[in-house]
Amino acid sequence: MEPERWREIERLYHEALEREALHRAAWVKRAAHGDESLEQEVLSLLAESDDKETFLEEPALQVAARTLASSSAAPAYPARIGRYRILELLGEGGMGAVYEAEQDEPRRVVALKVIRLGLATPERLRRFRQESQALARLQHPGIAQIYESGEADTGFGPQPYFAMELIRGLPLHEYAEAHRLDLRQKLAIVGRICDAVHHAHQRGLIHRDLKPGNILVDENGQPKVLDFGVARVTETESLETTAQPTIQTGLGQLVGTLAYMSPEQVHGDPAGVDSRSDVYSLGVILYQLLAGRLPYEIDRGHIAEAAQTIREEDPAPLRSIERKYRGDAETIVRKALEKDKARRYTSAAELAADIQHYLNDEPIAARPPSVGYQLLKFARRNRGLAAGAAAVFVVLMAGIAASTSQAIRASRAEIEARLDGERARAAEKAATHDRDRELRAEHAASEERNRALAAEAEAVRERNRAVAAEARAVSERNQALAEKRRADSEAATAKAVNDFLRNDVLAQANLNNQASPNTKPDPDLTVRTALDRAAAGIGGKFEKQPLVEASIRQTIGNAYLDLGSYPKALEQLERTVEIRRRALGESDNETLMSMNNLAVLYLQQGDAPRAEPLFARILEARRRLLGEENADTLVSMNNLAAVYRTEGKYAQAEPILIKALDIKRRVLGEVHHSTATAWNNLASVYRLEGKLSEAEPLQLKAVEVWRAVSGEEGPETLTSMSSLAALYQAQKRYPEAEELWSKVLESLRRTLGAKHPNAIDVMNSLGEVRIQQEKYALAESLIRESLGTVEAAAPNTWKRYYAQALLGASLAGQKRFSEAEPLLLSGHRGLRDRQSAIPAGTRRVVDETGQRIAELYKNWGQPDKALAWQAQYLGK
Amino acid sequence: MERGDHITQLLQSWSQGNQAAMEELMPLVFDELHRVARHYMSGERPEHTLQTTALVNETYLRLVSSEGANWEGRTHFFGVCAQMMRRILVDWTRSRQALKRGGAARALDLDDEALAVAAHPGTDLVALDDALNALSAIDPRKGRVVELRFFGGLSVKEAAEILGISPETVQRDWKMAKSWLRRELNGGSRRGA
Repeated sequence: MEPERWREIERLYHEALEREALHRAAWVKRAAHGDESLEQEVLSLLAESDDKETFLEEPALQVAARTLASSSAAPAYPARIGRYRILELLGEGGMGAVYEAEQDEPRRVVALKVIRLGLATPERLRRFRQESQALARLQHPGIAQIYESGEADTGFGPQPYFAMELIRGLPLHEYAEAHRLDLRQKLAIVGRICDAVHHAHQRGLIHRDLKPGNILVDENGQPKVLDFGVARVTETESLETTAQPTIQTGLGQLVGTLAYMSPEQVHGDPAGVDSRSDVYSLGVILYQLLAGRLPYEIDRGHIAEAAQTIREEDPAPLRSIERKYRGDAETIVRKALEKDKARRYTSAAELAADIQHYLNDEPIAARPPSVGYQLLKFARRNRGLAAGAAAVFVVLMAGIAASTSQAIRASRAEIEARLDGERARAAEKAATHDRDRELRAEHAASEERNRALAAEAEAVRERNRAVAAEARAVSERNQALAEKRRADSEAATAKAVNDFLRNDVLAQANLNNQASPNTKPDPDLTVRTALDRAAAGIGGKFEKQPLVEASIRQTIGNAYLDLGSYPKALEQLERTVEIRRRALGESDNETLMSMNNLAVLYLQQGDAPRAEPLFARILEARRRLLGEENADTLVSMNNLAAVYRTEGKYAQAEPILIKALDIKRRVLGEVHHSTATAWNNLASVYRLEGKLSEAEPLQLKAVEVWRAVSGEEGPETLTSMSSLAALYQAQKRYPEAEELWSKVLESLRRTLGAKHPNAIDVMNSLGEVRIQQEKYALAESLIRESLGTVEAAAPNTWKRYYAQALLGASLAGQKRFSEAEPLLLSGHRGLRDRQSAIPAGTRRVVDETGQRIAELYKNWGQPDKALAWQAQYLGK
Repeated sequence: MERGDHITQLLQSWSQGNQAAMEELMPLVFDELHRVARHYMSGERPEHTLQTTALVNETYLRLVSSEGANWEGRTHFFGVCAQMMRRILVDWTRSRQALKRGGAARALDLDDEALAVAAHPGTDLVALDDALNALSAIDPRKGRVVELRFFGGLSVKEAAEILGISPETVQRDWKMAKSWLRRELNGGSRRGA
């Protein structure tokens, strides 16, 4: 037929259909313009267009099936297969059918599984025979025994079958539900399944398709694994597939089977499948048994996504489903479910062993992922993490380490307390013994009247001694008990803090944990956000454990401090001090510690007047409580001296630092971070005092020691290098200062990030030293960066105005006077108004800015204004 | 990587009638055939079109799961599967009719009695196949639509996706193709030249 004609027929057909049935014929006649064959063609098609007809609306498969059904009373299944009389169809699916069948010799009822292999080529049959012999050798109470295999002609060529033990029981999950198994019973039954699976593994057989439907539990509670090795036997040689559904899998249920497959199976890597793949499936089964759901949300409609989920997504932690699974149960399941099979249990026996440990209340072999590992995952997941995050991790880790060491200390205290208690009991025993002796003595006294008086006197003395010993024993025991209580509560605090950090901060790395009802999971969660959420979560959570709350706030506050988020840090640290003061009093170590942190924060915020008395009080208390040579006391000495230095009270700072340095060198040694701090701080005081030649060797020493204890790019190393640069600047060795600061800045950008306060300080210093060398353009670009950051982060601080003034200076140097003028004036005003917040050694910047303004006007040709500013600042 | 290429090759070789692919699908189709037939016999209504789709899905998974995840091949695969279903079912019907007419007798355990009679309540798949070939000669796209919808069990939307045309176009093609085929099968045709 001509294509044009066919198109015409089609057009008329569809257009006619849009008209009322009654008018169609007439319309077609008109439209055909006398072409009768066209008219007939269209009309004959329209005659067949009745929508009510079911023609072709039933799929071909169904049409064929109906044909088959109506053709005869086709039996649902054959009467016999091989030597077996078929009794009943038990199930069927894509891979064949399973029947209950009777065997004559030996007389027994079996489950007969007929497997469709596709066309049974000789090669396939050979392999089937080989494999089924191996299966028949499997004998274990936890594995459905395969009696025999053979081939039956079922109409599509020889089809292999297995005759196997007929299990009457319930699938695992139904059994667990029907018998309301508790946690321990569930674990125990999975442990028995593991034993059975391990038995097969030892014989080189991997199941590859473990799932609850393949595990039946009989009336004795014995789990039986079905279809061992069947997946392998039924593989086709042309297309190695790992995803063979077994006979009890209904059509289209493969996606359900997918949920139990290991990542390597889903990845379609047959060579990568080994016994650990079965371990993974056991993990999914256990997870589902405990949690009542699968570890992942698997979308049945989207196979690709389901596979990706299995390969990439972390299962929702068990504890997020039920709190009681926190701890070892969760750790066991997690280890079985590791994506990387190298991180899994290496065998089903190992998994079984850990389950047994758990049931025996013994320590399990699996470890929860280390904090470091969690952090790594956190960092990987969080693209929003700047380099600054590294510092926070250090703080959080330190927090966790500290609370862990507290726990260790606490348990040591507990041991001590127990020992004390034993000592007390021994003393008590001795006292009793003494009293016995005393009684004997009394007895002797009554017999030997001669020595009666002396003996009685002695007895009285001894009794007194005994009573005293008893009293001592009692008091020692009380003390021991008190010590133990303290130890318990310390351990509890440490544990609570640890839990909070792990679960509320670090665990946010896991999207599943983030998803609380009100928050959307955020894949780009930053550390800052994690902290904010954790901080918001504290309120009210620890009403009855104020000390736990204090420890957590302290850790979070320190993390904010290191991130440079001072206002948020302040809020946390002030609360910490308040709580501890109330609960422990001010003469307590913990209270003093948090007061110290708070004072450090005040100082960093430029509030020296508030910091100084606090530091003084802490030092006084520590000297009294801990002595002069205690590490904490030394820290306090250093900190008090640091405030003095900031305030320009160099004469007060110097002797404290000299003394501290002396003690530190003696007690802690030369190469110690605390000694390094002392060197650094003493050097900077000398520098600020103008004793430059005395400062230099000390500053060099500080850098050297910091390098040794903190590394080339350690934050303190960088700080001391920056101090050295400042010293060079004071000595007018500008190129050396510039080079050093450039180096420091480069490292800071890499480690703490360009927005960190330390980086801002170094940018300003580097800018200044460039201005001093008349490298104005270079200075400008750098200071624009620091100004941008500080305007956003801390707009109301002297540092902002300092950066403004420096930018003005760099522009004035480039003769861009009209741009420079407002910046210099505003910078000057801002600095002058905030003079008291500027560290004394840096306060020179106010005058220097004034001088720069005078210079600006002079170079700009405005001598009057220049003179007015000169009068104020030059020669000053 | 090569993985994707491999799948594509595989699919191409199937569409060219690769026997291995047929072998995979055939037992599944027959099992399903028997299953659905038993439903009819027991008086239950089978759950309609789902069967075919599930079947195809499963075949797809079996063949592709070993190959990692080149899931883009999926649409193409459904198209090929529909073709294979057509061949399997038509051949099966043809062989039954041959048996009925006393053709080659094969000893079949499972359902040899079933082959004895074949009253024809529904569509004759062999005749339909012939008519469909004739339609495809005039309008290949309409032939494909019928293949996908009827043999592949796919919805209008799925068919549209595979053919890369709008669902409306599929609907129009489907409608006209049915009219055309029914006319052919009813012998009431007055073919144009």
